[in-house]
Amino acid sequence: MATHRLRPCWLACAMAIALLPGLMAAGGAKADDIRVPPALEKVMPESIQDLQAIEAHVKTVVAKVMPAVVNVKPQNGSGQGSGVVITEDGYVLTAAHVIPTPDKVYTITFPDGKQVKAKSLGSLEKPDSGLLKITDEGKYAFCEMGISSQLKKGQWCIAIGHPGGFKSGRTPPVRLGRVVSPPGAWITTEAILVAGDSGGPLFDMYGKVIGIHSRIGGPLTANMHVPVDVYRTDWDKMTNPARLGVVADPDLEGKGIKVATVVAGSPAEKAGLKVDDVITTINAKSVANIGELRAEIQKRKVGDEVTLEVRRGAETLRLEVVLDKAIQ
Amino acid sequence: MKLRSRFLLCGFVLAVGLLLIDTHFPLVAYAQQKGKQGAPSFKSDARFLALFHDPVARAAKSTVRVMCDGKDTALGVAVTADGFILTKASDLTGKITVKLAGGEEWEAAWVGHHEAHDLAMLKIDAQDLTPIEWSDSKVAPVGNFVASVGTGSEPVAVGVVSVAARDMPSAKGGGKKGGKGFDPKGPSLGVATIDDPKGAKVSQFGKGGFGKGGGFGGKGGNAAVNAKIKVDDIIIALDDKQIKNSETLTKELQKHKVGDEVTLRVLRGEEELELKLKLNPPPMKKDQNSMGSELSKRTSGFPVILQHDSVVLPTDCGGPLVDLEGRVIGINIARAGRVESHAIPSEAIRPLLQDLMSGKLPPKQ
Repeated sequence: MATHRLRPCWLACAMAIALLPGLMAAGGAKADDIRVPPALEKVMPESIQDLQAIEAHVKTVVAKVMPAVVNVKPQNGSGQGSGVVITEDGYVLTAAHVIPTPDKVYTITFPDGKQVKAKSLGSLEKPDSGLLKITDEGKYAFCEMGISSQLKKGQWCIAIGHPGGFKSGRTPPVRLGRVVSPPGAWITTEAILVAGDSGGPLFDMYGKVIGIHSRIGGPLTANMHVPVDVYRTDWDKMTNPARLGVVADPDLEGKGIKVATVVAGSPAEKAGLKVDDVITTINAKSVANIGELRAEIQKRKVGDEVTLEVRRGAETLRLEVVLDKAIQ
Repeated sequence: MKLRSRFLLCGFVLAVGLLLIDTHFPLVAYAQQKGKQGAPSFKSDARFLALFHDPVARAAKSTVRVMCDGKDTALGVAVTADGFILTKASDLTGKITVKLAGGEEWEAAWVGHHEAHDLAMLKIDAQDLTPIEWSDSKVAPVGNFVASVGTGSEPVAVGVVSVAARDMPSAKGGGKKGGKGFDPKGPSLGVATIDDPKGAKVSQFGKGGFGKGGGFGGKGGNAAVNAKIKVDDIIIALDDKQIKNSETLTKELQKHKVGDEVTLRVLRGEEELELKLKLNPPPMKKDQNSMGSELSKRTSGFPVILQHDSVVLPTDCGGPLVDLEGRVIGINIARAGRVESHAIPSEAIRPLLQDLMSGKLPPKQ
């Protein structure tokens, strides 16, 4: 269901790829498109007039995107992060570490204080991408997803989020920066982040989401964001994650993966995996702990076949597993 | 290419998960590498700063350097031609002198103090100073460029307005009463509590293990340990306020600031005890907030603040904040966190000036 609903958004994004260069040249094709002033295309603004043009533009973008920036807080449990609504019916991008478990209830707070409930759909540990869906019916303020692969070093961007968590009476703080390094595993910018910003949006000067706040390094210019393209390419993996269906023995963490439980009806059970089996490789790639195995599983989608090498007593077995979705 | 590989390395070595944990449990530990400057920012690029010559020119004429025992302590602004200087109060200590842009140095008398706003009024014998001209901060809404003015022709910091001027719900004796906002920079007792029919029962002590000095306690040690609180003690009152449960304890704590001395009444078995303690900095958050820049000693408790993303040195607080038109929208009061510097907006300062100069608000010494 989810993927069907979202398809129009993907199309819109695909169109944006085609339109973007045209927009830059023509300075805005449609009335509701944001026109980026030439000052923002310069490596460095050259005059006070350039600064004024940038300032006016930043204010326009902020006013447009602010209503879609949200706080994400588990209904039961502590901690909180940020997020951004990207469809009118309430799909919310966030970071994986804000919503580690699927099917949990979260409270979403908009900048005007309005609160709604959302469900975590899924997340991918490695890129740190996570997805929620607002479960209260309604039409919500949202921002479009941009294209992160086209980002260039030095491009201006705006970070918004809830540093330090939601605070009543405070609008989500705005930070201006530039792209420090073009996206690899993440986008690094000088738009400064701190705890609580996680999951919040990084915007380009068209007001499109180009990244999701993930982590920081020591220097003030080491602020890392998940490239938004990840959400597009991995949407199915997040909404419909492939599962193996085993629980590992926590005592062995870091020293191999000893199966503690095989979930009834799971792909693992169908493939003949048993309690006390020690999983050593997946498709000939060795895995030392459950985290590494999980990352390998999360790379794949429902229906993919993998070969597990398993130690059972003195024997070494090869088991073929067809990955399936989680059992509700 | 070089730059890129360095940043990937930073990612692995330094990267920190950003999820806020507002209670007592850290999610991601990290190593902080000292002395790494990282990539250059436009905020410190000479070409960028040079664009602000005109905006800062007028306010710079009113800006002075405040020194304590010969050391740069804060910036200040002349509010009258005949020697009244406004600056940040809480870092003042010892012998105070004021250095004018031209290099002249004057001995200063501390004549006024507004504790909540952390503002001090100094008096020097100089004449013919250029008094600052104030503008309401609403002229510079969110997203506006702001420049922090120093005594030179270039700003000491630049950034944008992150949050417009707002009342701080947690400020003691000011701001909105009963606000729900939890200030993560608010003080901590250094213990976790659970609800009890009689009050808030101490369940465990916070540990200092969430990063160096970032856990409960920090430099001053754990407040609760220092006060000899024991696990299972039931906190029933903080000063004269009854504590019904953990939530009311948190609420009462939020009305204070780090370093405040409070008296707790606790039940220990049949006994009722009074324990005095000095409140701790909050657990954990301190670490991520102090990554990348030095913070002011006092970062909270101001009744009204305007938040911007400029990186202001603690010793450059007390100086004016201007917009691109050169209008003075406030006085920087704290480097308050990794993402934020705080200014007291001009509209909150103006009504205080007379009392600060007249001796109505004398400094406690």
